[in-house]
Amino acid sequence: MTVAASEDAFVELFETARDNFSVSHSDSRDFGALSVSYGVGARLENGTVNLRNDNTVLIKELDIVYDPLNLTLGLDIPSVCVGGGCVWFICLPEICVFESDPDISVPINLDGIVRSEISGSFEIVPRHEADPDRIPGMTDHAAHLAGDPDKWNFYLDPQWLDVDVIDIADTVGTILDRAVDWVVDTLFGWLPGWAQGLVDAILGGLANIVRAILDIGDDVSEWLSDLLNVSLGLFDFIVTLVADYFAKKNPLFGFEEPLPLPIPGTGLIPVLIPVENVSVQVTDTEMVVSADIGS
Amino acid sequence: MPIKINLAALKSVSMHSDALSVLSSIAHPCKKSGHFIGRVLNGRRHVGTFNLIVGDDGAAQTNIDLAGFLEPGVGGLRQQKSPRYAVKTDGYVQFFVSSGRGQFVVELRAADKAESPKPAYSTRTLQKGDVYSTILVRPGSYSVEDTKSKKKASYVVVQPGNQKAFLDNGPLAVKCGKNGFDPKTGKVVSGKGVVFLVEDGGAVIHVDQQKDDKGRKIKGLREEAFKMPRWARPMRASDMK
Repeated sequence: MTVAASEDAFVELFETARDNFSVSHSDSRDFGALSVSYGVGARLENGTVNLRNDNTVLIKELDIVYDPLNLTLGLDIPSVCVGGGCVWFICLPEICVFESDPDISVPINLDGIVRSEISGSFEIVPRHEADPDRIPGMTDHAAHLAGDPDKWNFYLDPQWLDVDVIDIADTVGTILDRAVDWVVDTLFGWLPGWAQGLVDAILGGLANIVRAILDIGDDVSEWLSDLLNVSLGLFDFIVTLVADYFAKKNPLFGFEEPLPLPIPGTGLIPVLIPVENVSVQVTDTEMVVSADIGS
Repeated sequence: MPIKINLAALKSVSMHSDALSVLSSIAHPCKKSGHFIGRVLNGRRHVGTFNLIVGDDGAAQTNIDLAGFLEPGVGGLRQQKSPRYAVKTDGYVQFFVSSGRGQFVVELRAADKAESPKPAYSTRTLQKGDVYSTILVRPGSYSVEDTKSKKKASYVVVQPGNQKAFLDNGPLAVKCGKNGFDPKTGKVVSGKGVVFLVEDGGAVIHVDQQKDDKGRKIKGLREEAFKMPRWARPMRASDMK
């Protein structure tokens, strides 16, 4: 048996699988003065598909859109203490006028602001799989009639994947500025001016101390990218989920095994024909599935 | 998000050596070795007792936070039965107040004369060699008076302006002797101390803020805008959009 699908048909199969992808995940990490927890959902958009003569499928510019993406930053604001210092033979005590314990939490909504992109090469791998709902001992005919037959499923198994952060919207700078302002105002806004000035001097700038804890440099986009990618490992984690989705969880297509062959006009149940030695051949124009049947 | 704010410290405008309050301290040189019993009074109320061992084993300076004697919680000095402190002979024991509205007096008696009506030392009157320190946080002008000798001085507290100024400036050192205070005037950065070295016994030093940094008199000035943080609904992520 030989079945062929054109590149256009293959793209449709891919787009269906792509659009069905969605994940959600939450985690938290502690980095000392800064802790971060996040909840994220991700979906896939775009992507170009090329069948290639080396029996692989090249998928390029497949976007991962992070939506929702909610970060909660926990900041450990240092204590503000006065006094100290030594005169003659006496050292003065330090008296703390402000302490925040535990951290102040700042939720930040980054829905749809971050996109990363995957490009990679995939092989199409056929896999014979039993239906998990099939009752042990059930005959093939009974399984077919119950809708729980075994199947040959065809997966996209990644050979390599590249991931890039392609877009962090400029508005992230404004969002973070507002977050910093909110922290400063919440913690110190109620103090009289002179006390704010004193706290500001001790900490070296209220906004600066918040930015220092967050370790925000000049480039906010780079900061966020590093936080999500390096510190939280979010992009790698999602890419792993995408790879697993295509390689193990969501076949591009499949068919029953044994293959039901209806006998038209007889009213009889279909004949079930075993399918073995399934293989896939990819050329630059089509995908060809070959198998031995009835053996 | 519990925030601890030392309101008493931020509001403190008067610091008197004969009633130690927040931001003030007295360091007393321990010349005699031995076991002393310390009594802590808040106003006239006896709030705690401690043991002070002066000898070879203690630190050169031992600090005792008197505010701890008013703390009811576990770990507060009030819960401990006569906590024990050690200081080296010729070292200093420093009594200070980190928070609250307490006005403390400390009396020291030799352990074998614990019931004596007259203490060997009382913070009500500074002795020669004592060091009285005040940390001044509110900008403005302050008057200083030795209420025994009636000698006076005045100092100005200025905003540090930036972190470098705060870090680079230290406490202001002032000698208090028979000729009064030296220097009689001076400037100190907010959050730093003025440290008085008592050269003659019998001094009682009062430090009072007279005017704020806008020249307004403190006495009779309506309590400034120390609004307690108003309750606000917790921030939502959507507020940042």
